[in-house]
Amino acid sequence: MAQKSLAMRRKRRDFWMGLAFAFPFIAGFLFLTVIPFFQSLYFSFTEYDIFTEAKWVGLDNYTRIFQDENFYKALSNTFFMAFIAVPVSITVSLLIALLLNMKVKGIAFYRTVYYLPTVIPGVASSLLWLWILNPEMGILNTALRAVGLPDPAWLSDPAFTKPSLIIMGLFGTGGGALIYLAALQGIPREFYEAASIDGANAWHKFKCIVLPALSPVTLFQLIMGLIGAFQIFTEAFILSQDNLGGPDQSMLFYAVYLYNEAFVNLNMGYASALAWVLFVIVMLITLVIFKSSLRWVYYGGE
Amino acid sequence: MGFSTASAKSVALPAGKERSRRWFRLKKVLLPHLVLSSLGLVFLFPFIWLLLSSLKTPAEIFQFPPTIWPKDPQWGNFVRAFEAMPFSRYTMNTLFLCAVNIIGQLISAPLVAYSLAKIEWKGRKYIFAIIIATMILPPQVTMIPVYIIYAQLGWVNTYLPLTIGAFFGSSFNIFLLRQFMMGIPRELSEAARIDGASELRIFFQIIYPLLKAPLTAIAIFTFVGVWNDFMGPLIYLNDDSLWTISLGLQGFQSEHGAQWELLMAAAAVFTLPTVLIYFIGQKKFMEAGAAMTSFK
Amino acid sequence: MKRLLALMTTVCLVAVAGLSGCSPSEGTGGGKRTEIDFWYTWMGDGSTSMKKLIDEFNRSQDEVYVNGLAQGDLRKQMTAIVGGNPPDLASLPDEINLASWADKGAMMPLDAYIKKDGYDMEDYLPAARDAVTYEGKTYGLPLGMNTWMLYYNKDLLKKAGFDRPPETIQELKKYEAKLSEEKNGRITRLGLWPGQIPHVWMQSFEGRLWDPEAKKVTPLDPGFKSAVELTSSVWQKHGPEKIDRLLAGNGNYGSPQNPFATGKYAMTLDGEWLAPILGKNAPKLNYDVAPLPYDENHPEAKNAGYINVNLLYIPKKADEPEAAWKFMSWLAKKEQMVKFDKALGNLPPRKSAMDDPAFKDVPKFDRFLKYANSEKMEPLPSLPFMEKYMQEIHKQNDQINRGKVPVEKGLKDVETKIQPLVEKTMK
Repeated sequence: MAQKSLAMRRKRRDFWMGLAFAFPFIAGFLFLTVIPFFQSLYFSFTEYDIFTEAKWVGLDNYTRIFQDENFYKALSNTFFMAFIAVPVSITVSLLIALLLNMKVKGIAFYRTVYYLPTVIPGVASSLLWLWILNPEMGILNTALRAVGLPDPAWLSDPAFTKPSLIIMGLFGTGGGALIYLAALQGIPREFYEAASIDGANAWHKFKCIVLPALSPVTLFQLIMGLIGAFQIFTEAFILSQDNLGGPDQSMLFYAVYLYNEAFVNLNMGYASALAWVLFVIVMLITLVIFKSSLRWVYYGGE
Repeated sequence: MGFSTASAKSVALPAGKERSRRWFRLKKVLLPHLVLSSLGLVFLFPFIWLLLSSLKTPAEIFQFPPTIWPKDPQWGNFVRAFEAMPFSRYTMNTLFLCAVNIIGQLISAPLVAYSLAKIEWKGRKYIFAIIIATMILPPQVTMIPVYIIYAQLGWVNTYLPLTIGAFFGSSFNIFLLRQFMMGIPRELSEAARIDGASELRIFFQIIYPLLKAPLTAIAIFTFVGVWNDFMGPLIYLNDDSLWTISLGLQGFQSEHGAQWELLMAAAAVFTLPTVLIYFIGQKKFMEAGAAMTSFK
Repeated sequence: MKRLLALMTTVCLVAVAGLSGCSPSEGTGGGKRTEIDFWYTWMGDGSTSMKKLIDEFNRSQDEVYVNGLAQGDLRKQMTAIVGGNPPDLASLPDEINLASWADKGAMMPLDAYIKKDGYDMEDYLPAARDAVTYEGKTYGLPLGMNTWMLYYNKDLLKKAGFDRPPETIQELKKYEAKLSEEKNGRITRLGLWPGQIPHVWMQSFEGRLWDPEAKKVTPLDPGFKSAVELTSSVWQKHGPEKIDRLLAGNGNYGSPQNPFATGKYAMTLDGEWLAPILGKNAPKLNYDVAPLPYDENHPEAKNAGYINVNLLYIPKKADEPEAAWKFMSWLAKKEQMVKFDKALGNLPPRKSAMDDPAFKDVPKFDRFLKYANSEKMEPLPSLPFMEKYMQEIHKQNDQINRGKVPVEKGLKDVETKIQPLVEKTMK
C-alpha cells in the first residue's frame, strides 16, 4: 500500500518536474509557434497591409497564387536548387569525406582546410563570388579563357545563375563531409575485413558496406538540405540586387518572393497564403522522403 | 596525373624489392597528398583571392588581364573601409548578439533536454514529437505573425526579437542534447535521486558537467549562426547604431557598388574573426561537426 | 568549457558597455535636443554632400540633432515603416513610389506644416509640385530634379564621320549601327546604351502610359511600344548574352572606369548628374549632350523629354515629425538646395534657385536646365499603383530584351496584370 502511494507520488512529482524543466520550450512553442501558426492561417484568408484592418477575402489569395506566374517561377527555381543542387552537394560531400578518411599524415590539416569555406559569412562570400564570377574581370573566366574554355556570364546570364549558386554551394560541402567522416569512422573494421575475405573489391565494399552504413546520415543531410533550399535568401538577396530575382528572375526563390510580398509590397495576407502553400509542399516532400527512407535507410543493430 | 601513369609503367619492369616499395610509397603516400592538396588549394582559393583583391588599387582591380599578386599592396583599403563605416561598432553589436544567444541556448536547451531524457513523465513523448515537427516547420509560416506581434510589443528595432528565441531553446539543440543524455547511464542520476537529491541538483551537479562536448558544439554553431544571420537583422533592425556586420556589409555594398577593392577589404574584415576563431578552436569545430551524427 | 563561458561573459559585458553611452547628442549644449533619424538614398558623392549639410544643420542650432544614414535599399525603408519603427525622415530617388506609399498610408501629409510655417511652395516648379502631390495633399519636398539627355563622345562620332549629334530616332539608329564594334565575339564598343528604363524614351514617340479619361493603363500605346522596341533593339542586335557580359564588366559608375568615360559607350542615355562625374573623373573626355532624338513621324516630339524629382518625406508613425519637418524644410530652402544640387549636378526644382550663379561651373548645367524647361517635359502620372506598374514593366522589359517574350505579348501581360489594380485602388 505504502509502496504504491509512494510510486504515485513519485509519478506526480516527476510530471511536474518534467513540465517545469520543459517549460522554456513549451512557452516558446506556444507564443512563437502555435499562436503565430494559426494567425498566419487566418491572415492567409485576408487582405492585410498592417496599416488597415485585415479584410476577409476567403480563398481569394489561394486562387490568385495558382495564377501567379511569379509563384511558379519562384517554385521552379527553388525546386531546381532542392532537387539538383542538394543531391550534387551531398554527393560531393561524401566524396570529400572518403578522401579525408584516407590514412595519411597531416590529414587533420586537410580537414581544417576543407572546412574553412563554411565559416565565411554568407554576405561576405556572396560579395566575394560576385567578384570571382564577374564575366569580364573575374578570375574564373580569366582562367577559363586562358585555357581556351568557354566563359559564361555566370551571375548575369539567366542560364548560369543557378549553376553559379551550385558552384558556390560546393565550397560549403566541407560541413557535410565532416558529418559523413564521423560516420565513416564509426564503421567497424571487421566489416571491411570480412568483405575482403569474401573477395569484394573496393567498389563492392563501398556499395555494400559504406553506403548502407551512411544512409541515416544521408537521410539527415537530404532533409536538412531540402529544408535549407526552401530558405535560400541571403545569397539571392545580395546577388540579384533587385526585387525581381535578377536576370530573367532566375534567382527569384521562394523565401525571397515571400519576403518581397510581405515586407516590400505589404501583401501580408497573400504572403501568409504563400507561406501555407510552402508549408504543405515541405510537409509532402518530407513525408515522401521518410516513407521512401524505410526502403533505403539502414539502421544498424544499435 | 601523367606522373602516376609513368610510374605505373616502371613498376611493370622486373625490378627489385626496393623499387616496388617505392611504388607503394608513391601510391599510398604521394598520390593521396597530391589529390588532397590540389583540391585543398581549390577550397582555399576564394579566401586567398578575397585577401589579394582587398589589397589592390582601383586601377589594378580593373586591369586586364588581372594580376594575381597586388603590385603595390594597398593596406590603406582597410583604413578606408573602416572609415566608411563603423565596423568596430557593428562587430561589438554582433558579438553581443552572439553572446546573448549562446547564453540563452546553454541555459534552456539542456534543461528541456533533461526533462525529455532523464525525467519519466507523461508528456515527454508528445514534447519530443513536437520538437521533431518544429524542426521541419518552415520559419516563413510563422514569420509574419511573429513580426506583427513584435511590432505591436514595440520590439522592432531592438535586440529582443533576435535574442529571446534562444532562451526558449532551439529544437535542434534540444534534440542534440537529448540524444546525448540518453547515452548517460541511468544509474548515475538514479543513485542521486535515491539519496534524495533534487532534480535541479542532479541536473547541475551530475548531468551538466558531462555535457561539455555537445554544449561546446552548440556554442560554436550558435556563434556561427548568429554571426552569419542576415534576414533576422534585416527585418528587425533599423538604426545603424544597432546593425550587425552582415547588415553593415550589405549597406556598404549598396553605397560603394563596384569599388571592388573596398568591398573585398570590408568583406575580409568581416570574415577574419570567424576564421581566427575557427583556427583557434578548430578541434572543437571538428568535434561539433561530428556531434551532428548523433542524429541517426 | 569554463574558459569559453568566461570569454563569452566578458565579451557580453564589454558589448553592453560599448552600447550604452555612445549617443551622439551627448555633450552638445545643455537643453534637451530632439534626435531624429534620417535615411537618405544618395550614395557616393551624394552621401558625402548630404553628410556635410547635416553637420551644418546640427551646428547651426541646438534643438534638433540629425542622425544621417545612407540607406540605398528601398526595401529596407518599407520594412521599417511596416514595423512601426521607421526613421523620422527619409528620401526617395524618384516619385514613382510616392502615390503608392501615400495611398497605403505609409507617408505623412505635410500640408499642416506647410500652412503653419507659411512655407513657400509657389517657388517650386509646377511639375515638381505635382510630382509630390497625391489626391490634393502634399507628401514630400523635392530637393532635386532630373532629366535625361543623349551624351555623345565627340571624338568617336567624328571618327565615324558624324560631325553633329543625331536629331531623330532614325538618325540615332544609323549612328548606333556605325559606332558599335564587336571583336572575337564580344562587344568592344556599344554605339548606344539606351538605359534600362524605356519610359524615358517614351516622349520621343509621344507615348503615354495612362489614359486619365478612360482610367486605363496603356502599356500597348504605340509610342510606349516604340520606346520599348528601341531599347530592346540594342539587346536583340548584339544578343543578351553579350550585353550581360558588357554590363558586368563595367567599372564603378562614379569613377574613371565609367563606361562612357572609357569610350566603351559611344553614346549613352543618362541624367544631368553624369556631367559632374565626368568632369571629375575624365576631364579630358571630349563629349557633349543633346536633347533626346525624336521620331520623324512625330515632329512635335522635338525637345520633348522626361523629368522626375527626388524628394524628402516623413514616414507614418515617425517619432518626431515636428523635428523632421524642421530639418527637411531647412534642407529644401534655396540656399541648401543650391549647395546640394550643385554638388550632385542635379537641377534645382525651385524657380528662384535656377539662375543661381553657383551653378555656373557645373558642367553642362545650362544645357540640361534649358532642356528641362521645355514645355514638352513630362513626369510620370502620380498613381497609386505606379510602383507595381513600373515593377511589371521592368520585369516584362527584361523578358523582351532577352527575346523570351515578343513585345506585343509582354506589354499585353502588363495590361492584364495592372488594370485590375486600377479598379481596386481608384475608388
